[in-house]
Formats: sequence, C-alpha cells, structure tokens
Amino acid sequence: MHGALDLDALYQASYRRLVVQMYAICGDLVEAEDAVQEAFVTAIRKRRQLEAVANHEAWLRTVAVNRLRSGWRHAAVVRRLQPRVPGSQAAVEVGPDHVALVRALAGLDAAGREVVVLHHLADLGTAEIAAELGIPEGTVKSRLSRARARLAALLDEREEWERA
Amino acid sequence: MPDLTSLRSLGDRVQPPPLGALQDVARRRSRLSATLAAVGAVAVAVVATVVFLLVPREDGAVPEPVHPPTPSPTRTATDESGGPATHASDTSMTLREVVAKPNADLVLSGISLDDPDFRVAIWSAPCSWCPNDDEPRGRPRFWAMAITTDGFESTMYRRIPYDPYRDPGFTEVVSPGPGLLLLVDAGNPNSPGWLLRDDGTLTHLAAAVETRSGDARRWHWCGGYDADPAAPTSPVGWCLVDAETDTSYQAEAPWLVDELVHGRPAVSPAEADEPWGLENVTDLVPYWYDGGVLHTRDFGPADATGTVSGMPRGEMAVWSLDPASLVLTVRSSGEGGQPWQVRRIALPSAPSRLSVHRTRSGALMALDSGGELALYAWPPRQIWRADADADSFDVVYVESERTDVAGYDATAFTELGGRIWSGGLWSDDDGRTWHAVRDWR
Repeated sequence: MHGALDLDALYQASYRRLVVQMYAICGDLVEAEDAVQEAFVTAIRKRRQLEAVANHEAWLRTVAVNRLRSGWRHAAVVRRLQPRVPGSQAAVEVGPDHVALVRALAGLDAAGREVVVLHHLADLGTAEIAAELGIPEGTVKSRLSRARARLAALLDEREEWERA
Repeated sequence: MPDLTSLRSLGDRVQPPPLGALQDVARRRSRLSATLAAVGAVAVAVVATVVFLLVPREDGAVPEPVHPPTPSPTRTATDESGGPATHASDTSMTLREVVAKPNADLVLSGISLDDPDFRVAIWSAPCSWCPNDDEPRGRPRFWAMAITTDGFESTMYRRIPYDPYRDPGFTEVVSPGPGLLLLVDAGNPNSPGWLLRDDGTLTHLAAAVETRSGDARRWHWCGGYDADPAAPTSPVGWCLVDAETDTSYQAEAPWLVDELVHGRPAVSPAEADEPWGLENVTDLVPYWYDGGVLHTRDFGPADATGTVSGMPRGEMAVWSLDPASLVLTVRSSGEGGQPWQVRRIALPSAPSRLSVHRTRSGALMALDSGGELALYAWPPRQIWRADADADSFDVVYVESERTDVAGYDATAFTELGGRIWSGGLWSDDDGRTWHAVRDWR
C-alpha cells in the first residue's frame, strides 16, 4: 500500500501531460483525450488497485496506451462507437511544427512510436519503459534505436520536401 | 534526434473536463456492474448481453465483459426474434429495428465462400426515438447481427456477443469451411472467436495451444492486447479452428509474432513447412526458416513493404514500394532464399494501404484498401491487376459506393474453386472483372 490517493491532484497534475503523450502516440487529439479520460474512469473504478502502485501516472499511462493499442488494431470498429466520456472540451489549435512532428511520429511503427514517446516525452529510462510495456529492456533499446533513426530520416525528408 | 519536448506546450491549451464528469461515468458503470454481479457468475454473461442491448443506454452504464475468461463451448438458441417491425419500446430498439434502420452503420460483414448466400452482417444504429438525456453521448446506440442462408431473402437476428462500448469487437469474418463462418475476436485475448453455423447457432470457441495440420482456410489470426493492464496478454499468431471440438488451436513458435525479431509469419502451417515473412524493421528484410534455422536477407531501406499472399508452396515473395516513382518491386525466391528474382511493376496511383496477392495463374493482384482513409472517406477501395509478364498494373475495380465492411485485419484476397474473393467482392476470370455482394440485410 502506498498511502491515500489525492485523485483531484493527480488529475490536475497528469491529465494534460498524458494527453500530449497519447497525442504523440496516436496523432489524434480527440482520441488521445478519450484514452486519458478512459484511464481516469478506470482509475476511479479501481481506486484500490491504483493506490497500491507506486507510480500512479505510470499506471494511468499503461491503461491509456493499451486503449490506444486496441483502437489501432480495430480502428474501423472502434471509431464507430459513441464516445463514453466527455471528449475534447474545446478545439485545440495545433501549430504546424507540432503537426509535422506528429506526422513524422506516425511514420514509425506503433511499437517504435511508443518507446520514443515514453523515452523522449515522458522522460522514462529504458528500464522503466520495459516495466511499463512488459517487454525486455533489450527490446526497448533496439526499438528505440531503430525508431530514432527512422524518425530523423522522416523529418529530414519532410524538410527537403518543404524546401523543394 | 528531433526534440519532442516542444509538444509539451500543447498541454497548456488542453482543457480537462471536470473530474466530476468522469466520476459520474465511473459511478454509473459501477452501479450496473454491481447489479449484475449479484446475479451470479454464469448468469452475468447472459444478463449483461441482454441488459446492454435491450435496456436503454440513457444512464451511460457499461456492463462488464460478456466473455467468460475460460469459455467452454455453448450454443445459443437458434431463434432470437428480431421483434416487431415497428418499434416496440420508446426507450429501446429490437434487433430487427437496428438492422432495418435506414441510417444504420454496417460494422462488419462476412460471406461463406462455399455458399455465398450464407452471410453475416453486424449493424449498429442510433435510437432516434429514445430519450436524448445522456448529453455527452447523445442518443443511445444499439447493435445487432443479421444472418442469412438465402442471400437475405430471410434473416435470423442475433445479439452481438461482446460489449461494443468496451470491447473492440470482431476483427474479421473467416470462411473456414462449408456451413461455417468464424467471427475472429482478436481484440480479446481470452476469446479466440465465435463459430457461426448455417443453422444460426453461435458457439464460443475454447482455446488450446497446439500446432496442428489442416486446411489452409481453417487458419486465422488470433491473440492480441487487452485494455486491462492487469490481464495477461496472449501471444499473437496463427490459429486453427476445429469445428468438431469447437476449439481454436493456437500454433506454437515460430508461427507466432516474435516481438524481438520479426512480424507476422506470412504463411500458416498449412501453406508451408516452415514460416517466412518480413522482419519488423524499416529495411526490407525477409526472413525464413530452413531446417529450423532462421535466415534473413537485407535488401536495404524501403518506405513501404509487405509479403505476397498466394505464393506456391516452397516459394516466398516480398514487395517494397518507391512512393516517388510509384514502382512496386517484388522479390521472390524458392526454398533456401537463393536466388532472389526481381520484378518491377508500375502502380496506377499512390496507395494508402496496399495488399499484394499472386493468383494461381501467376497474375498479381493488388488491393488498395484505403487504410485509415477508409474510416472517413468512402469509397476508397481499388483493385489492380498485372499479368505474369506485365510491367504495370491495370485498374480493374474502383469502388463506386460502399458495399461491405470486410474488417480491419481481413485477408485481402482468398481463392476457392476458381473464384477470387476480396471481402464481399468476387471475380471469376482471374481477377479481370469484379462484382460486389450488395445485400447485407
């Protein structure tokens, strides 16, 4: 047991951060918000389980990432579902730099995108990512290495294309 | 490495909804779960389905999963009335009403390759006459299965055996043999799928791990992720459906996805003695096993890659696409990976999501299924064909209207008895002309 949980404080501290991370993974802000809101609904329903873990935000992130994963695998079905949570509260304007970055991320395979985002945006070490995703640390390192190279190439290509 | 941290500033512009709204959603879900839990473990599965599909969803409640964790084969009754043609309740919809609703969405469809009059379709529709008092979600929505053995001259209606607000649902419908349709449930790691027989019975398959031999059509893809972090994730790999025992047998390594090395084996145990496929890297790297030993060949960077289905036993082929020149390069090889033959074929346009198949005559078929675009902009589907000696693909089918929903993971092309199928499209002349099945209700 890791002590009483201040859910409101966790919500205020983590919501925006998790939405940005999920956005970087899935490239869709509404889908990202849905995933994070679903994670908090799960957290509310499984409060004891959440209280028992050391890193509440990591637990929420795992739930949100898994939700996105099932969305990728079955997007055609999932996107027809009604939203279960309030959804995006207001249209968020995303600047061109951010769009370019997220498009480049979308050029990675899903597994590579996850590790890049967790490492470079959530500031997790490879051991922490391995624990969160339930995969060997060596796999994290190899995915990270491949994804970084691919991402750099994708952004270079885009710059060249824009200059042309 | 590009700086991703600039994305963090986006967070300042995100406005979280009040936490109370999420607490309210959680409360309503828990309330229904508690009610169901009191009924008893076996009854829960049945009641949850009935409550979810027949009780109005104005409270936003979502039941617990209807799949038992370790299912034993059970058959449902053959008759599940669709109810009257006019709506029987001001707060709900019958199955027949869901299917008949003009603005219903076709969620998934499948057809028996042995008897094309045997079909299944899953429909979803909003209840326009139900109270609209669940503000964030709008009017409640309902789902129903329509089944026919006479091309929808007559229809059997069934409830869908999953919770559409929680489970991702079926990923594809496979035609594994006469009188059978397999509803693949790859999103649910505890459910290998459901077998629909032409008498309307729906059977939840049991799962077993054992590499078996069998007809290529009985093999499908199963396993996957779960949204619950506490649940174990099943492996993803080839599975064989056995209608005699109502069991799905998952093959063992190396017929599974190997997270560390490579992706999905391109062939099932019925199609090859040992698997081959593409490594899950950005280069074009085919892999194959020979005498249990893994071999690879790196053909260098490639923007888009894939395997060619329909290859004769003992041969393998992979493709890569140069998006600038729109040239598809197909590399093929016999057993042992030597030598590799190269063929280059021009594409008519840039595809969104490409699948390539070799017909029995040696012609190449390509399906541009639209990828993500298919979710928003119908109709995206095109089929291209190239004779065995052609240097470019011809466009042989452009979808003019949406005719079916084959499923996100569906096999692009399947051949049976001289006929080629792609979802609800078929060709009887080696892929030169295509026809569409249009009746799904």
